[in-house]
Amino acid sequence: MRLPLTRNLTWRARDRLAAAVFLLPAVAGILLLRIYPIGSSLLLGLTETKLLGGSEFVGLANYAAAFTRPELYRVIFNSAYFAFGSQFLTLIVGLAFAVALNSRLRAIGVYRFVFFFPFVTTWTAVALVWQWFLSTEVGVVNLLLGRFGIGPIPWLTSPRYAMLAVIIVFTWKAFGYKMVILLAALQGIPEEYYEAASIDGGSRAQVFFRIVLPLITPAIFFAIVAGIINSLQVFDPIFIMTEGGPARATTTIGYFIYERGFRTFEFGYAAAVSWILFILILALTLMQWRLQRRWVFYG
Amino acid sequence: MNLRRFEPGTVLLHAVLMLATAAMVVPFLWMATTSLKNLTQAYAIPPVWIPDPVSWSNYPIAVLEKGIGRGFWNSSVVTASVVAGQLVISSLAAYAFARIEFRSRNALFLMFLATMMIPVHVTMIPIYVLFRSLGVLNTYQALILPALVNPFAIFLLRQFFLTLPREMEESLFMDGGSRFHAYWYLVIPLSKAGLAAVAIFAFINTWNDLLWALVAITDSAMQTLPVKLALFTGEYITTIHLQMAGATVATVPILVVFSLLQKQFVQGVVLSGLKA
Repeated sequence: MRLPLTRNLTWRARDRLAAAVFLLPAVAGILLLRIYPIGSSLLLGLTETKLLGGSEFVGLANYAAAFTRPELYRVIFNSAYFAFGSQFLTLIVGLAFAVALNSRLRAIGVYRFVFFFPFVTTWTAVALVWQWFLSTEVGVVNLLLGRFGIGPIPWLTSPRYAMLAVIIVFTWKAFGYKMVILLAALQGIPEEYYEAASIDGGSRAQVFFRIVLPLITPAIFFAIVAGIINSLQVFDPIFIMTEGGPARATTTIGYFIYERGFRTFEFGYAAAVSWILFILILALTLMQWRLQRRWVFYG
Repeated sequence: MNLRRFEPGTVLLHAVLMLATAAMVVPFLWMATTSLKNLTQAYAIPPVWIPDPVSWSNYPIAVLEKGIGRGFWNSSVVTASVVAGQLVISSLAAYAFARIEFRSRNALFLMFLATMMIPVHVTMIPIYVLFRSLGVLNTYQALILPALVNPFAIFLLRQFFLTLPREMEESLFMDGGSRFHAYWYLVIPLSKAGLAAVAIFAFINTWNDLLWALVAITDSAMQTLPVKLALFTGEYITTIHLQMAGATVATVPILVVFSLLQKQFVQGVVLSGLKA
């Protein structure tokens, strides 16, 4: 069964050859589509496209512009608002429903399906629906709120509420992911812990906050880190529902880079800003890794 | 006594859960019913929930005249290619990382993992510039190639392969089998769950991708479904019933796949979340 070509190689050499062949597509892909672009992006950040085509070297002008023009600060603020708002909400809602589903309901499969399904759907499809639901005059949301005497709230047309609207829609779509992870973590807690707690006479709240919650902090940590990295790049709902507006209120970094790169074709500036985003994500992730010692419990 | 079950609160719990279920389901219900309304009913206030008459023609119009059919086809081609490609490339790489020992193995694997942190926006612009200079924009390859690189899938499958026993492979080698035989005849058949998870993630992410598909394809004949839907709003603001037909077309495949493979998907999510 041995290939004639490799007949004279030692098994070690044959193994290394196999490894090389097995890894070739993946490594080629990583080099061409991840490693090369990082370097190229860094270099691109040092150039800018000229009006009549081609590009010129401008040194650190793009980065300087990024830090001196006020627009990027607004964008970063928007991104932070969105990231923290959406992560907080998806965590709370996800945890609440994970706890609710953990109480051994018969219909848990149905509920898990229903709460998780929006997460896997196409943003364009659901954003169109929500855009309609959040319409100030004819939207279902305002109609409902009107029954309680609230509103009508100009969800997508006012700078004050637009980002909140995006956060709410995002939470609706994405909390299921955190819920699934936290539910699995909760289900991993052995029965004995609960029994021991009942013997020691703890109240339900005490059991939850002193025993259950600490035990699932690794899952919470993962959900938050992954969630923040993801939410800092959000693009789809903003592109469809608000296009960065009104008045730049929903322009996050993700949308801003798209705009600068592919609307106004300032490739150099967009590349520079994308690197700033990269550094931001790295810094935040590093910070969270350091902080986890304080609050994540690894039994 | 089972501390986890609220006896008196069970009714309340179910009420809350059912309310939440309604909140999750209503948008899709509205999407489906509106896709069958005529223009006046689609814009009616208060909202009409049951279309009468049922406007079946919305679908042929959306599919044939508004580009939804074209978008569906393009999305299908790209998605099928990416799923197949990722399965092959990731499983081969994962096998090498899990089973074959070579000098720079750990360093190489770490490099793969590190690239997972790169936001798509950083690679998007250089890849666009590269593809443009190669003349590859507006092709299927432009959408397929960047999606084939998935360190996460490699990570997932490697975790999976590491749990499989080595004895079978070892006896295969003693009988003169190659690494490829071990991979193809032993490891792959036992890895259905892991491969299913990779396939599902690849399917969902590729089918739903908007940003790169928007950027790399400007030719309307090559645009994918999410792009067609997103650009629908710009041109035809007053045809929400047709938009909803398009949205339903985009959602139904996901519903089908997810219904059939929900268990694998949830397992994949959990595997990635708790082992990371």
